[in-house]
Amino acid sequence: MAETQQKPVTPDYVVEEHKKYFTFFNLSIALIAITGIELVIIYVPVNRWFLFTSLMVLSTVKFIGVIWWFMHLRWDRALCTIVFLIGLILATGTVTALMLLFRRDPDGAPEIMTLLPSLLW
Amino acid sequence: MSSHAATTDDPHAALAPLKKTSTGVENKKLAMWAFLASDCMFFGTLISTHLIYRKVYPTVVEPTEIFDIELTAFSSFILLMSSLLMALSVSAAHKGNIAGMRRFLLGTIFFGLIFLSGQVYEFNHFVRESGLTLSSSVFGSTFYVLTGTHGVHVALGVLWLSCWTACTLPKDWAWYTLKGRRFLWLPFRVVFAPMTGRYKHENALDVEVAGLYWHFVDVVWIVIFTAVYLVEYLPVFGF
Repeated sequence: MAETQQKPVTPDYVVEEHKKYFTFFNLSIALIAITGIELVIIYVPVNRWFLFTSLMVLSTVKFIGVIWWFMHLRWDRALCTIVFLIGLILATGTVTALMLLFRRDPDGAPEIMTLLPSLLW
Repeated sequence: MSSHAATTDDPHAALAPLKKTSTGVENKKLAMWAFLASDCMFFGTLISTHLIYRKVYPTVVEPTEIFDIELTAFSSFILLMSSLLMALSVSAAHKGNIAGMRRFLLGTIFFGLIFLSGQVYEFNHFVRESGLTLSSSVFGSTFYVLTGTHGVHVALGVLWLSCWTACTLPKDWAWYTLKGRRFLWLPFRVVFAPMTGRYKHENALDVEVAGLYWHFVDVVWIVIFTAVYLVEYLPVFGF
Protein backbone atom coordinates (compact mmCIF):
# COMPACT_ATOMS: atom_id res chain seq x y z
CA MET A 1 0.00 0.00 0.00
CA ALA A 2 1.01 3.60 -0.48
CA GLU A 3 1.60 4.12 3.26
CA THR A 4 4.45 1.63 3.19
CA GLN A 5 6.40 3.94 0.86
CA GLN A 6 7.04 6.47 3.63
CA LYS A 7 10.61 7.63 3.73
CA PRO A 8 12.82 8.04 6.78
CA VAL A 9 13.23 11.64 7.84
CA THR A 10 16.06 13.34 9.66
CA PRO A 11 15.34 15.08 12.97
CA ASP A 12 16.53 18.42 11.56
CA TYR A 13 14.12 18.17 8.68
CA VAL A 14 11.27 17.33 11.03
CA VAL A 15 12.11 20.38 13.16
CA GLU A 16 12.17 22.56 10.05
CA GLU A 17 8.80 21.25 8.89
CA HIS A 18 7.34 21.77 12.36
CA LYS A 19 8.48 25.39 12.23
CA LYS A 20 6.76 25.72 8.89
CA TYR A 21 3.62 24.19 10.39
CA PHE A 22 3.43 26.89 13.05
CA THR A 23 4.24 29.56 10.47
CA PHE A 24 1.39 28.36 8.26
CA PHE A 25 -1.00 28.19 11.18
CA ASN A 26 -0.13 31.68 12.45
CA LEU A 27 -0.38 33.07 8.94
CA SER A 28 -3.82 31.59 8.41
CA ILE A 29 -5.01 33.11 11.69
CA ALA A 30 -3.65 36.49 10.57
CA LEU A 31 -5.33 36.17 7.16
CA ILE A 32 -8.69 35.39 8.75
CA ALA A 33 -8.30 38.31 11.14
CA ILE A 34 -7.49 40.67 8.26
CA THR A 35 -10.51 39.43 6.31
CA GLY A 36 -12.65 40.12 9.38
CA ILE A 37 -11.21 43.61 9.69
CA GLU A 38 -11.91 44.25 5.99
CA LEU A 39 -15.50 43.18 6.49
CA VAL A 40 -15.96 45.47 9.47
CA ILE A 41 -14.23 48.65 8.32
CA ILE A 42 -16.44 49.13 5.26
CA TYR A 43 -19.23 49.99 7.69
CA VAL A 44 -17.14 52.35 9.81
CA PRO A 45 -18.14 56.00 9.23
CA VAL A 46 -14.69 57.48 8.72
CA ASN A 47 -12.95 59.21 5.85
CA ARG A 48 -13.61 57.24 2.69
CA TRP A 49 -10.13 57.65 1.26
CA PHE A 50 -8.78 56.31 4.52
CA LEU A 51 -11.06 53.30 4.14
CA PHE A 52 -10.03 52.76 0.54
CA THR A 53 -6.36 52.98 1.41
CA SER A 54 -6.88 50.63 4.34
CA LEU A 55 -8.59 48.06 2.11
CA MET A 56 -5.77 48.25 -0.42
CA VAL A 57 -3.11 47.86 2.26
CA LEU A 58 -4.90 44.97 3.96
CA SER A 59 -5.46 43.06 0.74
CA THR A 60 -1.83 43.67 -0.24
CA VAL A 61 -0.70 42.26 3.10
CA LYS A 62 -2.86 39.17 2.52
CA PHE A 63 -1.53 38.85 -1.02
CA ILE A 64 2.09 39.02 0.11
CA GLY A 65 1.45 36.67 3.03
CA VAL A 66 0.09 33.96 0.76
CA ILE A 67 2.75 34.19 -1.95
CA TRP A 68 5.65 34.61 0.50
CA TRP A 69 4.86 31.82 2.95
CA PHE A 70 2.14 29.56 1.54
CA MET A 71 3.71 29.56 -1.92
CA HIS A 72 7.17 29.03 -0.42
CA LEU A 73 8.78 32.05 -2.07
CA ARG A 74 10.52 32.70 1.24
CA TRP A 75 12.31 29.37 1.01
CA ASP A 76 12.67 29.07 -2.79
CA ARG A 77 15.31 30.56 -5.04
CA ALA A 78 14.99 34.22 -6.02
CA LEU A 79 14.39 33.23 -9.64
CA CYS A 80 10.85 32.09 -8.77
CA THR A 81 10.13 35.46 -7.17
CA ILE A 82 11.57 37.31 -10.16
CA VAL A 83 9.55 35.32 -12.69
CA PHE A 84 6.35 35.90 -10.77
CA LEU A 85 7.10 39.58 -10.18
CA ILE A 86 7.56 40.15 -13.91
CA GLY A 87 4.01 39.00 -14.54
CA LEU A 88 2.67 40.79 -11.50
CA ILE A 89 4.28 44.11 -12.41
CA LEU A 90 3.05 43.86 -15.99
CA ALA A 91 -0.46 43.08 -14.76
CA THR A 92 -0.44 45.89 -12.20
CA GLY A 93 0.88 48.32 -14.80
CA THR A 94 -1.80 47.29 -17.27
CA VAL A 95 -4.58 47.73 -14.71
CA THR A 96 -3.22 51.09 -13.57
CA ALA A 97 -2.76 52.39 -17.11
CA LEU A 98 -6.26 51.33 -18.15
CA MET A 99 -7.84 52.80 -15.04
CA LEU A 100 -6.12 56.12 -15.71
CA LEU A 101 -6.91 56.02 -19.41
CA PHE A 102 -10.63 55.50 -19.04
CA ARG A 103 -12.58 58.17 -17.22
CA ARG A 104 -16.28 58.51 -16.66
CA ASP A 105 -18.14 60.82 -18.97
CA PRO A 106 -21.35 62.43 -17.62
CA ASP A 107 -22.96 61.94 -21.02
CA GLY A 108 -22.46 58.21 -20.74
CA ALA A 109 -19.84 57.77 -23.43
CA PRO A 110 -16.41 56.55 -22.44
CA GLU A 111 -13.94 59.38 -22.52
CA ILE A 112 -11.50 57.13 -24.35
CA MET A 113 -13.61 57.68 -27.46
CA THR A 114 -12.73 61.35 -27.38
CA LEU A 115 -9.18 60.67 -26.27
CA LEU A 116 -8.33 58.19 -28.97
CA PRO A 117 -7.98 60.66 -31.89
CA SER A 118 -5.60 62.82 -29.90
CA LEU A 119 -3.62 59.76 -28.90
CA LEU A 120 -3.40 58.51 -32.45
CA TRP A 121 -2.46 61.81 -34.05
CA MET B 1 16.25 6.58 -7.84
CA SER B 2 13.53 5.89 -5.31
CA SER B 3 15.37 2.87 -3.90
CA HIS B 4 18.41 5.06 -3.41
CA ALA B 5 16.25 7.60 -1.64
CA ALA B 6 14.83 4.96 0.63
CA THR B 7 18.26 4.00 1.87
CA THR B 8 19.54 7.50 2.60
CA ASP B 9 18.89 9.66 5.64
CA ASP B 10 18.04 12.71 3.58
CA PRO B 11 14.34 12.79 2.70
CA HIS B 12 15.11 15.25 -0.08
CA ALA B 13 17.39 12.77 -1.82
CA ALA B 14 14.61 11.58 -4.08
CA LEU B 15 13.93 15.15 -5.15
CA ALA B 16 17.55 16.25 -5.43
CA PRO B 17 18.10 15.04 -9.04
CA LEU B 18 15.12 17.11 -10.12
CA LYS B 19 16.87 20.26 -8.90
CA LYS B 20 19.90 19.67 -11.11
CA THR B 21 18.95 22.23 -13.71
CA SER B 22 20.84 25.22 -15.03
CA THR B 23 18.60 27.50 -13.00
CA GLY B 24 18.74 25.51 -9.78
CA VAL B 25 14.96 25.37 -9.76
CA GLU B 26 13.01 22.30 -10.79
CA ASN B 27 11.71 22.73 -14.33
CA LYS B 28 8.13 21.91 -13.40
CA LYS B 29 8.13 24.48 -10.63
CA LEU B 30 9.66 27.17 -12.81
CA ALA B 31 7.15 26.43 -15.56
CA MET B 32 4.32 26.78 -13.06
CA TRP B 33 5.66 30.12 -11.82
CA ALA B 34 5.87 31.33 -15.44
CA PHE B 35 2.28 30.18 -16.00
CA LEU B 36 1.13 31.95 -12.84
CA ALA B 37 2.86 35.13 -14.01
CA SER B 38 0.94 34.94 -17.28
CA ASP B 39 -2.27 34.19 -15.37
CA CYS B 40 -1.64 37.39 -13.38
CA MET B 41 -1.91 39.34 -16.60
CA PHE B 42 -4.99 37.36 -17.63
CA PHE B 43 -6.82 38.17 -14.41
CA GLY B 44 -5.42 41.71 -14.48
CA THR B 45 -7.19 42.37 -17.76
CA LEU B 46 -10.43 40.82 -16.51
CA ILE B 47 -10.37 42.87 -13.29
CA SER B 48 -9.54 46.10 -15.08
CA THR B 49 -12.28 45.40 -17.64
CA HIS B 50 -14.79 44.99 -14.84
CA LEU B 51 -13.66 48.13 -13.01
CA ILE B 52 -13.55 50.26 -16.16
CA TYR B 53 -16.99 49.25 -17.37
CA ARG B 54 -18.27 49.70 -13.85
CA LYS B 55 -16.92 53.25 -13.91
CA VAL B 56 -17.85 54.16 -17.46
CA TYR B 57 -21.32 52.60 -17.47
CA PRO B 58 -22.88 52.98 -14.01
CA THR B 59 -25.36 50.17 -13.70
CA VAL B 60 -29.05 50.47 -12.96
CA VAL B 61 -28.80 47.85 -10.25
CA GLU B 62 -26.83 48.90 -7.20
CA PRO B 63 -24.40 46.01 -6.55
CA THR B 64 -24.52 46.49 -2.78
CA GLU B 65 -28.25 45.74 -2.91
CA ILE B 66 -27.70 42.33 -4.45
CA PHE B 67 -24.35 41.38 -2.92
CA ASP B 68 -24.35 39.23 0.18
CA ILE B 69 -21.05 40.38 1.59
CA GLU B 70 -21.24 38.01 4.55
CA LEU B 71 -21.50 35.02 2.21
CA THR B 72 -18.60 36.34 0.14
CA ALA B 73 -16.52 36.86 3.28
CA PHE B 74 -17.33 33.30 4.31
CA SER B 75 -16.17 32.11 0.88
CA SER B 76 -12.93 34.02 1.41
CA PHE B 77 -12.52 32.35 4.78
CA ILE B 78 -13.09 28.93 3.21
CA LEU B 79 -10.53 29.57 0.48
CA LEU B 80 -7.95 30.83 2.98
CA MET B 81 -8.45 27.71 5.08
CA SER B 82 -8.07 25.55 2.00
CA SER B 83 -4.75 27.29 1.36
CA LEU B 84 -3.61 26.38 4.87
CA LEU B 85 -4.54 22.73 4.27
CA MET B 86 -2.79 22.81 0.90
CA ALA B 87 0.40 24.15 2.49
CA LEU B 88 0.20 21.42 5.11
CA SER B 89 -0.31 18.74 2.48
CA VAL B 90 2.77 19.95 0.58
CA SER B 91 4.72 19.85 3.85
CA ALA B 92 3.47 16.32 4.51
CA ALA B 93 4.40 15.31 0.96
CA HIS B 94 7.97 16.51 1.46
CA LYS B 95 8.16 14.60 4.74
CA GLY B 96 6.95 11.45 3.00
CA ASN B 97 3.83 11.33 5.16
CA ILE B 98 1.48 10.06 2.48
CA ALA B 99 -1.49 9.37 4.73
CA GLY B 100 -1.29 12.87 6.20
CA MET B 101 -0.91 14.40 2.76
CA ARG B 102 -4.02 12.57 1.58
CA ARG B 103 -6.05 13.82 4.54
CA PHE B 104 -4.97 17.43 3.96
CA LEU B 105 -5.64 17.11 0.23
CA LEU B 106 -9.13 15.80 0.92
CA GLY B 107 -9.71 18.74 3.25
CA THR B 108 -8.53 21.15 0.56
CA ILE B 109 -10.83 19.54 -1.99
CA PHE B 110 -13.74 19.69 0.45
CA PHE B 111 -13.20 23.39 1.10
CA GLY B 112 -12.81 24.03 -2.62
CA LEU B 113 -16.16 22.35 -3.22
CA ILE B 114 -17.75 24.49 -0.49
CA PHE B 115 -16.39 27.59 -2.22
CA LEU B 116 -17.81 26.45 -5.55
CA SER B 117 -21.17 25.70 -3.91
CA GLY B 118 -21.21 29.22 -2.50
CA GLN B 119 -20.50 30.63 -5.94
CA VAL B 120 -23.26 28.57 -7.54
CA TYR B 121 -25.67 29.74 -4.82
CA GLU B 122 -24.60 33.35 -5.36
CA PHE B 123 -25.00 33.18 -9.14
CA ASN B 124 -28.37 31.46 -8.77
CA HIS B 125 -29.50 34.15 -6.34
CA PHE B 126 -28.39 36.95 -8.67
CA VAL B 127 -30.16 35.45 -11.67
CA ARG B 128 -33.41 34.51 -9.96
CA GLU B 129 -33.82 37.30 -7.41
CA SER B 130 -32.16 40.24 -9.15
CA GLY B 131 -32.43 39.34 -12.81
CA LEU B 132 -28.72 39.85 -13.26
CA THR B 133 -27.60 37.65 -16.13
CA LEU B 134 -24.61 37.52 -18.43
CA SER B 135 -26.47 39.61 -21.01
CA SER B 136 -28.70 41.81 -18.85
CA SER B 137 -26.13 44.55 -18.34
CA VAL B 138 -22.46 45.39 -18.79
CA PHE B 139 -22.00 44.89 -15.06
CA GLY B 140 -23.49 41.39 -15.31
CA SER B 141 -21.24 40.50 -18.25
CA THR B 142 -17.99 41.59 -16.64
CA PHE B 143 -18.95 40.31 -13.17
CA TYR B 144 -19.89 36.81 -14.35
CA VAL B 145 -16.91 36.54 -16.69
CA LEU B 146 -14.47 37.55 -13.95
CA THR B 147 -15.87 35.53 -11.07
CA GLY B 148 -16.83 32.66 -13.39
CA THR B 149 -13.28 32.44 -14.74
CA HIS B 150 -12.01 32.31 -11.19
CA GLY B 151 -14.58 29.61 -10.41
CA VAL B 152 -13.35 27.57 -13.38
CA HIS B 153 -9.83 27.87 -12.00
CA VAL B 154 -11.04 26.59 -8.63
CA ALA B 155 -12.89 23.70 -10.30
CA LEU B 156 -9.78 22.73 -12.27
CA GLY B 157 -7.76 22.91 -9.06
CA VAL B 158 -10.22 20.60 -7.31
CA LEU B 159 -9.97 18.14 -10.21
CA TRP B 160 -6.17 18.31 -10.18
CA LEU B 161 -5.96 17.71 -6.43
CA SER B 162 -8.50 14.90 -6.70
CA CYS B 163 -6.23 13.17 -9.20
CA TRP B 164 -3.26 13.38 -6.82
CA THR B 165 -5.42 12.17 -3.95
CA ALA B 166 -6.44 9.19 -6.06
CA CYS B 167 -2.78 8.50 -6.81
CA THR B 168 -2.05 8.12 -3.09
CA LEU B 169 -4.82 5.57 -2.59
CA PRO B 170 -4.09 1.84 -2.55
CA LYS B 171 -4.95 -0.16 -5.64
CA ASP B 172 -8.13 -1.66 -4.14
CA TRP B 173 -9.38 1.61 -2.69
CA ALA B 174 -12.76 1.49 -4.39
CA TRP B 175 -13.87 -1.58 -2.45
CA TYR B 176 -14.92 -0.87 1.09
CA THR B 177 -16.21 -3.32 3.64
CA LEU B 178 -19.08 -2.06 5.71
CA LYS B 179 -20.90 -4.46 8.03
CA GLY B 180 -19.72 -7.41 6.04
CA ARG B 181 -20.93 -6.01 2.71
CA ARG B 182 -18.86 -4.63 -0.10
CA PHE B 183 -19.73 -1.35 -1.74
CA LEU B 184 -18.52 -0.36 -5.13
CA TRP B 185 -18.19 3.34 -5.78
CA LEU B 186 -18.50 2.81 -9.51
CA PRO B 187 -18.33 6.36 -10.88
CA PHE B 188 -15.30 7.22 -8.75
CA ARG B 189 -13.70 3.90 -9.55
CA VAL B 190 -14.09 4.42 -13.28
CA VAL B 191 -12.58 7.90 -13.15
CA PHE B 192 -9.88 7.55 -10.52
CA ALA B 193 -9.07 3.84 -10.25
CA PRO B 194 -6.47 3.92 -13.06
CA MET B 195 -4.51 6.44 -11.01
CA THR B 196 -4.47 4.59 -7.70
CA GLY B 197 -1.21 3.37 -6.25
CA ARG B 198 0.92 5.50 -8.57
CA TYR B 199 2.22 8.02 -6.03
CA LYS B 200 5.96 7.93 -5.34
CA HIS B 201 8.09 10.20 -3.22
CA GLU B 202 9.37 11.95 -6.36
CA ASN B 203 5.81 13.13 -6.95
CA ALA B 204 6.08 15.45 -3.93
CA LEU B 205 7.25 18.05 -6.44
CA ASP B 206 4.07 17.54 -8.49
CA VAL B 207 1.94 18.04 -5.40
CA GLU B 208 3.91 21.19 -4.63
CA VAL B 209 3.29 22.49 -8.15
CA ALA B 210 -0.43 21.77 -7.78
CA GLY B 211 -0.25 23.60 -4.47
CA LEU B 212 1.25 26.66 -6.16
CA TYR B 213 -1.69 26.72 -8.52
CA TRP B 214 -4.15 26.40 -5.64
CA HIS B 215 -2.54 29.20 -3.65
CA PHE B 216 -2.60 31.41 -6.72
CA VAL B 217 -6.35 30.86 -7.03
CA ASP B 218 -6.59 32.02 -3.41
CA VAL B 219 -4.45 35.08 -4.16
CA VAL B 220 -6.66 36.04 -7.09
CA TRP B 221 -9.73 35.77 -4.87
CA ILE B 222 -8.10 38.11 -2.34
CA VAL B 223 -7.87 40.74 -5.09
CA ILE B 224 -11.38 40.05 -6.43
CA PHE B 225 -12.88 40.20 -2.94
CA THR B 226 -11.48 43.68 -2.45
CA ALA B 227 -11.75 45.13 -5.96
CA VAL B 228 -15.15 43.74 -6.93
CA TYR B 229 -17.02 43.35 -3.64
CA LEU B 230 -15.64 45.49 -0.80
CA VAL B 231 -14.93 48.61 -2.87
CA GLU B 232 -18.60 48.72 -3.86
CA TYR B 233 -19.40 49.64 -0.28
CA LEU B 234 -17.37 52.85 -0.64
CA PRO B 235 -19.75 54.95 -2.77
CA VAL B 236 -17.42 57.92 -3.00
CA PHE B 237 -15.63 56.22 -5.85
CA GLY B 238 -18.89 56.36 -7.69
CA PHE B 239 -18.57 53.31 -9.83
